[in-house]
Amino acid sequence: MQESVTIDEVNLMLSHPDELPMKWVGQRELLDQVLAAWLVVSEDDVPLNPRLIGKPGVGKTTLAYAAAKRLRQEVYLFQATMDTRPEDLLITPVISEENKIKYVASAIVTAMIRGGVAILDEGNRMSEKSWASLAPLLDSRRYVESIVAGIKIRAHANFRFCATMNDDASTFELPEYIDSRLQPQIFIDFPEREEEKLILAQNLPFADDMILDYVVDFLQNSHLAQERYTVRDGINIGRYALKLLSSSRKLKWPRRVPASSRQVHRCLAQAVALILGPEAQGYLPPVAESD
Amino acid sequence: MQDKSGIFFENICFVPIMHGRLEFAAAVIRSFCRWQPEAIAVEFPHTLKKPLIRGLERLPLLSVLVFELKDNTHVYLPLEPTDGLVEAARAALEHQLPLHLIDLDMDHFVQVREPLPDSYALSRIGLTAYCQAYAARAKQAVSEDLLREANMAYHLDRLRRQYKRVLFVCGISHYPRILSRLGNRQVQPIGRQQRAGVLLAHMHQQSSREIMTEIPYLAAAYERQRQHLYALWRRDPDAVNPLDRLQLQEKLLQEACARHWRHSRERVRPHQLRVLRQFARNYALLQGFLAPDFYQLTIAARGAVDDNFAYEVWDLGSHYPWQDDNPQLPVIELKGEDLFLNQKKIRFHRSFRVKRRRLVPVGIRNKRLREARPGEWRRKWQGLMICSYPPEDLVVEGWGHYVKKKTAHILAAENTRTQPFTTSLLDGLDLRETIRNWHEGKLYVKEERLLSGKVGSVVLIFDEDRPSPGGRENFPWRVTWLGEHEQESDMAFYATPAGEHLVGPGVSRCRYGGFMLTYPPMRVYDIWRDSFFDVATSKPERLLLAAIDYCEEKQIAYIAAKPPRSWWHSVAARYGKKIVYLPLGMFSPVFLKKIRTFHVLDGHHVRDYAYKYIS
Repeated sequence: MQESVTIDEVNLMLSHPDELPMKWVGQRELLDQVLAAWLVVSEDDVPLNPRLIGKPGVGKTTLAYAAAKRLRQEVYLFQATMDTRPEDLLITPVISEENKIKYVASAIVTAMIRGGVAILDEGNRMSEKSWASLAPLLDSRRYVESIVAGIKIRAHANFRFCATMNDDASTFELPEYIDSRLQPQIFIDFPEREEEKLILAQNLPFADDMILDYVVDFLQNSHLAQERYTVRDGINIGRYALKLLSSSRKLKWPRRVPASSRQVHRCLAQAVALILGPEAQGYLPPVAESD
Repeated sequence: MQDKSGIFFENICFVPIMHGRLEFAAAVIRSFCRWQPEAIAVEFPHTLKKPLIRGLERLPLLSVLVFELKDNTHVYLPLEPTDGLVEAARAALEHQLPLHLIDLDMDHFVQVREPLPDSYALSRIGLTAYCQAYAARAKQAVSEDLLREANMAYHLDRLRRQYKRVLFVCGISHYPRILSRLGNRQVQPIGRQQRAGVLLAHMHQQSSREIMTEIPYLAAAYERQRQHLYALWRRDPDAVNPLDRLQLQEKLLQEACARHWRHSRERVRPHQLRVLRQFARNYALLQGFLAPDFYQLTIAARGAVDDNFAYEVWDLGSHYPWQDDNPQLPVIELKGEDLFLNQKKIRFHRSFRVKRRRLVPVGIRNKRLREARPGEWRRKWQGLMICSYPPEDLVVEGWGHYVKKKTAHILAAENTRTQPFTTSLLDGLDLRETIRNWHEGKLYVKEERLLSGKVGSVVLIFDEDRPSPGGRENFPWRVTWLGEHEQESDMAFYATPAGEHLVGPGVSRCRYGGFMLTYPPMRVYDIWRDSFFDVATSKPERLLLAAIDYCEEKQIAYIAAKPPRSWWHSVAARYGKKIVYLPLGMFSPVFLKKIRTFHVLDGHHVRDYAYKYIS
């Protein structure tokens, strides 16, 4: 059953909060930075609206979600696209079975009403026109105006907002008046070696240390060369290599024959080539002679 | 903050300190002025006295005491001006008072890390309240500390009989237990009476950036104000401490703003500073501090402004001015890990990142050369055969195409009309308008009118750069560049001079004040020397007139903070062209910042290695 609220005699259907199996590993400082942006120290204080910037796959959405969960508030994710229109961000009119108009609040407006956290994912993909509808929400006014429903909605005191953005060329669509409201910028860089291994271990609990180390070495080499391969690629490489390994391994019931390190390295190299292309193989760590 | 009560045992005034913090060093000076002791005792072992005094006499130059323990581990003891122990020992030397080093020299070194309230609390509640609050929650001591405290209590017992007034400075964790021992009979523990091989070394300049406990900028401010503090508190021991951490940090930010303008020609705007302060404050509060530390401040600078500004904050903040001098001592270079410091890394991405794939020897970082002497690259700059850096050309060119598309899109949107459906569906149903007027029961349709012509020239003005009354210009360098191939536009621009800010050998970083792109290439004669354009009254107008004159299409996109004078629209109309004005604020400042910085190379051969310095 969808919840609804009435604002200025207009009935609004609300969205559902998101519950996702996301866990933030390591890089505690980044989590603190997001929480610091949202912190208010008095009733007159206004929270900041951080912008999480980083390469695809470094964990921007995971970080935002983890920070929101730390506040023990409902989390609402809104995936922005090139086709997102202002009314999609606020209130969408829908024609019901009785041929009447029903107003549906977006994830962002629902978070505003219920005092949750709104995460605008990949905000840089949206047009300037769509961003303009959020301008009053992102400054001290903290409200939105829906032209479609003809109402003004004020944000709950506990409402928090953040946007995630890739640092590729498509982030350059933000107009200046929005850029100044989406502050501070929190940069998510490639994790350090130990943190990268932790993230891989968290996502590949069934992979042994040899595989994790090999994938981490590959990723660290590519970071040095300023390639854009991320830990997300590493997880995919590890997963695929494990699948290749189990399909090529002879099974002796009830005991499996452990794969040799040479087999493991071959499968990993194959996974790298298939997932990222043959040019990525230049960053594979050397295999010891004994292997 | 008045702090009259103090912590005393009979005629001994205790000054418990947190090592290396500005507020505690100032508290030592205040206590010294108020108590006017006959002798000073500090928590240093007497076995280090000679090299320690030599190190104190070298201040403000930073020194490190180095000695080896029995288990072959080395102990490094940096002498920093903002350490309360150092300040107390300096005070004794400067005022010719007896200095007693009463700690016990031990061959086993235990490092206890205890979380303490932010030292900035001293500015508000004073030393006594701070220490009493700490004492109420003091933790159990390790056995080595108990021996050291017994030794200090024994010597204090001796000193209180010898002098009328004694000032004792020690780490805050020791003082409650030493105080409680003083009422009882003291016995001196057995300990080392002398230590050979203690080396006094000069701290390397790079190390001073990395391992100083206090922000070097604040430490330098303290060093400059020390004598003033003595004079102030001799007159009035209750006067407010003029060295306020938050005010000093604010001064650091203001200086960084000025340097940011000098180096990057960018102003930090008030709203950015407001965000910076709020973010830094929150970040500090969240991690249990009252005032932001250096890392938090630098991160906030990057978050509110950009990497370049954060770098300026870090560079200024981590600079301790006296370490450049000739040391006349062995130099020691220490890293944070040598002192078991809990360090955090920050990577600055100070300029445009090259996204082109290139072959890089795996696992080996490209070694950048450094200047042997400051200004060496600038002296070697010739500027006779300059050229651009191709990846940046691609970005500017790509942006030019994007602007052309955007302009066409804006013009198309302006030409779209919505009207109620009568006899024709025209260009389709306007669903949004139909639903909005649902109560009318009408359908709405849209009509998209065709546009004639495309955008042929693009003018982008970042800064009009009107000359100041003295005739000074921020962007005096005027250049016209021809496209190098069929896919490149001709370009005219005004910018900061090449050869002024060198980031590598033959690599000069410049900033555009404004530029004009026109396609196809190989047509533009130097617009800055062409007398035909002398009718223009400013550099932006000259670019605009050139854009109109050389444009082979119908429209010219003009992007600036202010629209051009209406007269220019008439000029364009005479040419049969149209100026489309787009406000600068429509475009992302992030991207504008990226394309605004460019690099000029001192010859084509520099292109082979320029990427090492532009990444």
